[in-house]
Amino acid sequence: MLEIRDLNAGYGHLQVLWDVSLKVDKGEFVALLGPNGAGKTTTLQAIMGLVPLSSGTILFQGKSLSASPTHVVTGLGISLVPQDLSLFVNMSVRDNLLLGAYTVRDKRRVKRSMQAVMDLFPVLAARQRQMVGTLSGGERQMLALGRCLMSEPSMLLVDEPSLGLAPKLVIAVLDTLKRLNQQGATILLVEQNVKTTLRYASRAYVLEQGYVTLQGDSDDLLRHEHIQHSYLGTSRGLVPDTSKEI
Amino acid sequence: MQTDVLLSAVSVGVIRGGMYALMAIGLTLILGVMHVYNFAHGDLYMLGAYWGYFATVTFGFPPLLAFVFAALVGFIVGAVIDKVLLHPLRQRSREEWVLNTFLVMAGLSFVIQNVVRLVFGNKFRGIASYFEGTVQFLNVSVSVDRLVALLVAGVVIIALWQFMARTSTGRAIRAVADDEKGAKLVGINLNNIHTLTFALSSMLAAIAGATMLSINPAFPATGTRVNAASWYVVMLVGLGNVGGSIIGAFIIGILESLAFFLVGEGWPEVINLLVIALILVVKPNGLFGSQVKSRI
Repeated sequence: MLEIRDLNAGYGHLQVLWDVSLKVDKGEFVALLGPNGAGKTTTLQAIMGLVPLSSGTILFQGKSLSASPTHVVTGLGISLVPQDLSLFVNMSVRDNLLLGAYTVRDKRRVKRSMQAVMDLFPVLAARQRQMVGTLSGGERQMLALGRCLMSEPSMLLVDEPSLGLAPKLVIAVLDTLKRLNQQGATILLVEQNVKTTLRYASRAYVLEQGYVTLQGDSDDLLRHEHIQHSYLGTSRGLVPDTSKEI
Repeated sequence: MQTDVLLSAVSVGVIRGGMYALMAIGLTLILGVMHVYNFAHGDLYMLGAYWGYFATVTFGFPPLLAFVFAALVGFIVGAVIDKVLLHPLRQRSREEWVLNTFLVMAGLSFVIQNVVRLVFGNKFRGIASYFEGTVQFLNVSVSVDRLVALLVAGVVIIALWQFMARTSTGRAIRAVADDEKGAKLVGINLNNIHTLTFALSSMLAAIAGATMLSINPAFPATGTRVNAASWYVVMLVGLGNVGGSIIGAFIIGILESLAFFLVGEGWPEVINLLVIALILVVKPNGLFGSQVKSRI
């Protein structure tokens, strides 16, 4: 469904991504993992046309997205929940959701997806008239996700939903993504939290300093030495092995 | 006697307030959505006065049709200005955007005024009145013309308000003002919204210019004072507040007219600026200025 080939991109003279290639098939739940500053967010922004590509191709359903402006990419059925959420904070919850369906011209479809989002997040239904500025962090995350779902996207990109949320809420968000995936949504999730994420995604790519260093099924990655060493701290790392040093 | 003077001063002020509201809403829209400080806004008003004049005198349109004509031409002029001047600048670079666009708009103001002077000459083009007669109200007589101008301003503002609140396009305009990235991500084409916003703003100014034609005749520099007064409104209420700018417009209108009637002809600007300066000393964000926009 989505295929990135040899993508090089960055900001001005600062190149962030180096020959990144990745693929997400229809109906998959794929994670993009890696430490801070590895280029995960840049990858999503490149897909959405928010940063210019210097070379490489991005194919969505066989068509090239390269150099398409953001609103066109959204119109094709890819929707991004950005890290900063980019909600319309001075507008009501309802207005935010309606704007999520901006590309949908059919009023009945808008009504239907509004109902679906309300069913998914009953909290939002109760707060329809409230300004976004008055919502809590968890509610905002739900609203951002709900706003994306309003356009009934065929592919969902989610950028670090765990940022700034309590662990319980993180699990709730991931559960929701899993459920959406089971209902047929294709998901590419960017996360730093390796252990939890690999329990939800079926496959993952690891991005480090702008390069894809690892890829594979979640179960294999969980057992991989590099992952264990650098991200999970199980073999060596978080728990210092004092016996050796003395 | 004294109360009569006061009442007629206030009534004149209210009518000017309607015009300033149209102007200030346009300025606020452009400021909020496009971050452009439009110092050519008064010239869009001036052009509107000319469209009203040509529609009425040259084409012989009835008044309401003349207003619609001015509105349409004003809309087109605004769209062309955005496409020809602001759009290419936006594509090239958003760095130093506020300063660059300020210079572009200030330059545009000179160009428009002098082209109009070149083409239409340096003479006043006005009409005696759109509608004859006066209305007597509490010992004050107000010409029907002025009442119509106020009424048109009211109707246009309410229509605009409904458009912004209820339609998908109106919501998109508000969304762009609120969060540009979010607006792009939900699929809004920023270029279209920018062009539309500038066109709408220019349309409002043109309507103001056309409806006030019998009071302020068309002249290459007609817009200069109106431009200043509209900016006073925006400064008074704080940048980017549409609702507040309506109230501010009436405050400035009444203040100006009171100063004119009670103090003297040269005083309105002085008193306006004095009051604004005093208010800004106490409330630096303006009367209704919101604090710095909170963004998560």
